[in-house]
Amino acid sequence: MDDLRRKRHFDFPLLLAALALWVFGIFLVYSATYIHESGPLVGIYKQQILWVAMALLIVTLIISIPARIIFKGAYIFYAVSLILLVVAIASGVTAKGAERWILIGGFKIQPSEFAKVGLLLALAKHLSERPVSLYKPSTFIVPVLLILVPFGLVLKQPDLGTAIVFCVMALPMFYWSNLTLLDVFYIVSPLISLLLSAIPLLLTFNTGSSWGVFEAVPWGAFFVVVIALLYFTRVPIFIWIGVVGANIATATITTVVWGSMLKDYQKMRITSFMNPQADPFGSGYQVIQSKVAIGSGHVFGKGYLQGTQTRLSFLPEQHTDFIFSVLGEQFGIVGCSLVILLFLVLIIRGLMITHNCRNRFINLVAIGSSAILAFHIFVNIAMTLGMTPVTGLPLPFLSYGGSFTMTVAILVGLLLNARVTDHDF
Amino acid sequence: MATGRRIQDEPHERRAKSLIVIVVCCLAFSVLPANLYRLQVKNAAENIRLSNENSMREQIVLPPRGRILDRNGNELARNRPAYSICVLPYRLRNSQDVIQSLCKIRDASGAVVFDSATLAQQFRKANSRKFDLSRIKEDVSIDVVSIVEERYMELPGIVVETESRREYPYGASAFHVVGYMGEIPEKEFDTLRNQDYYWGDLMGRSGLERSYESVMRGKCGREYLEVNAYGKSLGAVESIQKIDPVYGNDLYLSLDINLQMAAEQAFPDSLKGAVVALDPRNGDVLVMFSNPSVDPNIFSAAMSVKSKTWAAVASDRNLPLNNRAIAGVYPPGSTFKVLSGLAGLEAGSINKDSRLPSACGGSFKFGSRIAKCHKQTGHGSLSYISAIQYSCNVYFYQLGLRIGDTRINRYAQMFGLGDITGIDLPGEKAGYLSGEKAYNERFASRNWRWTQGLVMDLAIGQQQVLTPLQLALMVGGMGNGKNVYQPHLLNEERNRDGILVSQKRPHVKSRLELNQYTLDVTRDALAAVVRPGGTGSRAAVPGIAVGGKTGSAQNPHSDLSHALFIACAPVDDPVIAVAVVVENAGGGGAVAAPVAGALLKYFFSETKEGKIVYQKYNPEGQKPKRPLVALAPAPAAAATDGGPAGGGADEAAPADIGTSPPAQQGGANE
Repeated sequence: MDDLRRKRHFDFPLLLAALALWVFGIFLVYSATYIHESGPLVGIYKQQILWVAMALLIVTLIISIPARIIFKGAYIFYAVSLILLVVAIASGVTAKGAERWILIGGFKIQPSEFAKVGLLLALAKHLSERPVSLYKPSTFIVPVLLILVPFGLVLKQPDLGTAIVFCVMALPMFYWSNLTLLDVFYIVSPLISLLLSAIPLLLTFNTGSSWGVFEAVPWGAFFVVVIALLYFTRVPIFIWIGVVGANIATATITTVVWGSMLKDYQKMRITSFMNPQADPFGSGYQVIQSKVAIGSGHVFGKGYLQGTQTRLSFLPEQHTDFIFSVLGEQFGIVGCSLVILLFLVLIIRGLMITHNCRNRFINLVAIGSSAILAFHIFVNIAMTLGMTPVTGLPLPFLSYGGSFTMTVAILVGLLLNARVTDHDF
Repeated sequence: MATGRRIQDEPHERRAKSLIVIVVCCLAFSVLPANLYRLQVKNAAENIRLSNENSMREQIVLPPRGRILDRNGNELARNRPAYSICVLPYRLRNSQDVIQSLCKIRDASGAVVFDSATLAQQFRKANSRKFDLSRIKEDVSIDVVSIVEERYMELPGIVVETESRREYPYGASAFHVVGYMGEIPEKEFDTLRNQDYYWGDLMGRSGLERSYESVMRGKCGREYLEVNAYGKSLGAVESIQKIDPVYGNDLYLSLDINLQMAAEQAFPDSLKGAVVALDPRNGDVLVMFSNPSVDPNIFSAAMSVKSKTWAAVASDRNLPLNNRAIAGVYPPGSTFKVLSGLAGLEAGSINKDSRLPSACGGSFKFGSRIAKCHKQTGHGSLSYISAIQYSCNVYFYQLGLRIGDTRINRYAQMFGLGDITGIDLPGEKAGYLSGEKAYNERFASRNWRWTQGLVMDLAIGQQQVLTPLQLALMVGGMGNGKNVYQPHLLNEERNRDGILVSQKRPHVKSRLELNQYTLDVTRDALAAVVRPGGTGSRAAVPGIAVGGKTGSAQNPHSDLSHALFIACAPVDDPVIAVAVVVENAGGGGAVAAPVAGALLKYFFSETKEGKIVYQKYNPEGQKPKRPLVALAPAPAAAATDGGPAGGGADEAAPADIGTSPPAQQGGANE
């Protein structure tokens, strides 16, 4: 009864956070590009205003659709987004080698953005009917296939960032769908193996001094922990084999690929985020400039429209992927913290939907949507701070871009919808 | 409608799970403020210094491109300084005044250099990038530069920029070898951007400029400049090491540009074709000329000049951009008879005195087909040497039928025919050796089948198509007798200070395993052609035994046959092999042989290598009375020996075999 009373509650904090961020984004896009008197970036903020207006329209539209209909149409949406992806790959236009879009009614559409929503809905629908279990590996076949198809298509574009989004969003959804934290740890362990076996290699490449036999220590220690966990949790033999095999395989592959397959310039690109000074002209350029811009913002920033880094066009992509640097330069740590806080409100409100909702599909959609948003926000900001490699994932709400703003709108719409809709279907 | 599976009734589990996700999220996000603090508070001073007072800008330093020199050190491609007048908009005070001052400038001939309407438009355009230089006049003469520099007080914001442009002192003479430079095509940019190329960079687009692009380009240097908020450079950032450019290396070629110009001069101006000369002892290409040609300097001229001339060149129906020496494929015609003969000698089917059953009466009957000889009255019964000397078709019809296509092609392949030679130039064609298997495959879609009669055409060089370079390789190999070397243009790669970086070693493309008797007879036959009375007598060089062979290849494009001539000299130990092809010009003896003759005369009288050989054959005191080099203008097509092929002129040229039905093929050669 408690549930019934609350479920028609509209989530105003979430909506307000989203609105504030969108409006703030328009101002940032303006300040990032107003210096241009000619060229493709002139008046781009007007375009962003239009996108945000459309985004609000989409939010309203999605709120008014009963969740039952979304549930029923999930696979159709998934199929359509895949078809668009295939069309884009077959006929699409390439921009700077990676993003592909198709033209529909004069609008440039990036199908890889909508595929995120497509996969979210399809996974949520499938997992709500058939939960996965590590003890029955066959339960993973369909979900993995659902992920692999768009993953492969997007990787072919090539857009590694989006491909990773597909995998990351699935993880909390699997977790929600009957896995324990330990199960999730087993699934992620090969990835940790990859990182741990790569870190000594990266550091060696960067500093030039070899670790010798100690290269094996980080991964070795982790591997022992995995073995111990497997032993004490008394998992069936096939999980033993699977987890141990996958961990050894990724560690070996990492070492072999790094040792004999990557060229020096590729290694340079991978490690540039760790030490941008090593290649300040090439891969490190954006990172250096972004860090200088953010760092020079100090506590309160240089003031709106007062960013010298931004004004002198030192920052490439400053209205899209590096919009956070514009924020950092002009509004300082205060502005940055405020925005991060707003993001957190949004994500936490999204995750909290599940507290009062009994419908597994809606919960999965809420978890997935929040995960997509959180991952984008984290990776993008970390990138502008020089903590992660430059991946090309935009910052939700703030970055300029039509397809991405629409995608974010759909996700926000789905989150808001979860509160107002009928939960029994 | 509620289905049990889709409902989660455990509020505690839901709460717990979502709390865990929230905690993970918050933990991850907590890293961000920590890093923000480090950047914006702890290291703020350093970052504020970098950004507020000074900012950095990357400066690319493009090294001068390597030069191209011929074997005697003559520059075929070099760099010249060029001056552009640019505008730096943020420094313009009153653009109207500046425009007026600029319009007063006149060059040496008294012509006005700038016009106010164009300038006004250029200034407007430039304004969008206030801190960047924009060109307003490309490639101006030095006197305009000095006027602008004298009047710098009147011209605030006007800057002279020096850049390097490519210059080709020999112009059209060496165009096809050297090639030209152009902007990177969009398609290739995606891959090149990883290799130190920037949008708008020039790169070699054809010839050696393209094949040795990476050698001549060098590596870009980079500097990080500190620039103030107004875009003015304050010098290099010291904390970041600058990368010095690596200069491009110079190419030293095997080509002899003077010999090349002698060939160009001897070549009939109005006709199309190619001349190739190489050293059969090592594969050095001495001459590679293709007519019509283009002056590559137009490609590095100012944009306005370039766009006009480029359009004319690109749409020219004579295809002047084609290097006919390696990309033109022609039926070899009678020049191929030497190879058929060589196959016959090697097979033991004939010797130098062999007479074949049917004497030449002007035609040869095979089945229902009557194949003609170019001499309507017939040559009578001929020995092998005479059959080559007079280029009798009937003799080679019979020889072809006797030894068959497989055997002929085996020797053709030994000389590198029908396959790319691997010369260091882009765009080489392989040609096509006919024969039963190749023919049936090639014409399978038309349902044409190989017939025995086609061997007759094959033997007289009317079935296959070859490039002039391959023909030179063939005749050089026959003279050399031991090896066929891969032809190459690059001899040495030297750095800017002249220090040798790498040297091309002669590379044996194929070893000739031939009987000494075969070689002796073949050389005798080649020498007989150039002796008085032979079809190639116009290629004779007094004092040197030249071996050659004429060819007049039928082709469907014109009534006039292609004129061909191949030669090597001295025939028993050649130091030079020549192939001349003149399209639709008539007989090889009349048109092509004199070109080869002029080239050889120049070689033996004017070049270092040629003189040494000449001395060896003509010791002191036996010098010919008149100087060797007397470049006669090429005579017009019709002439006495080996004129336009008479007799059964069938449209039987494999050059465009698709248009002619195979059954009608009948050879017609001099």
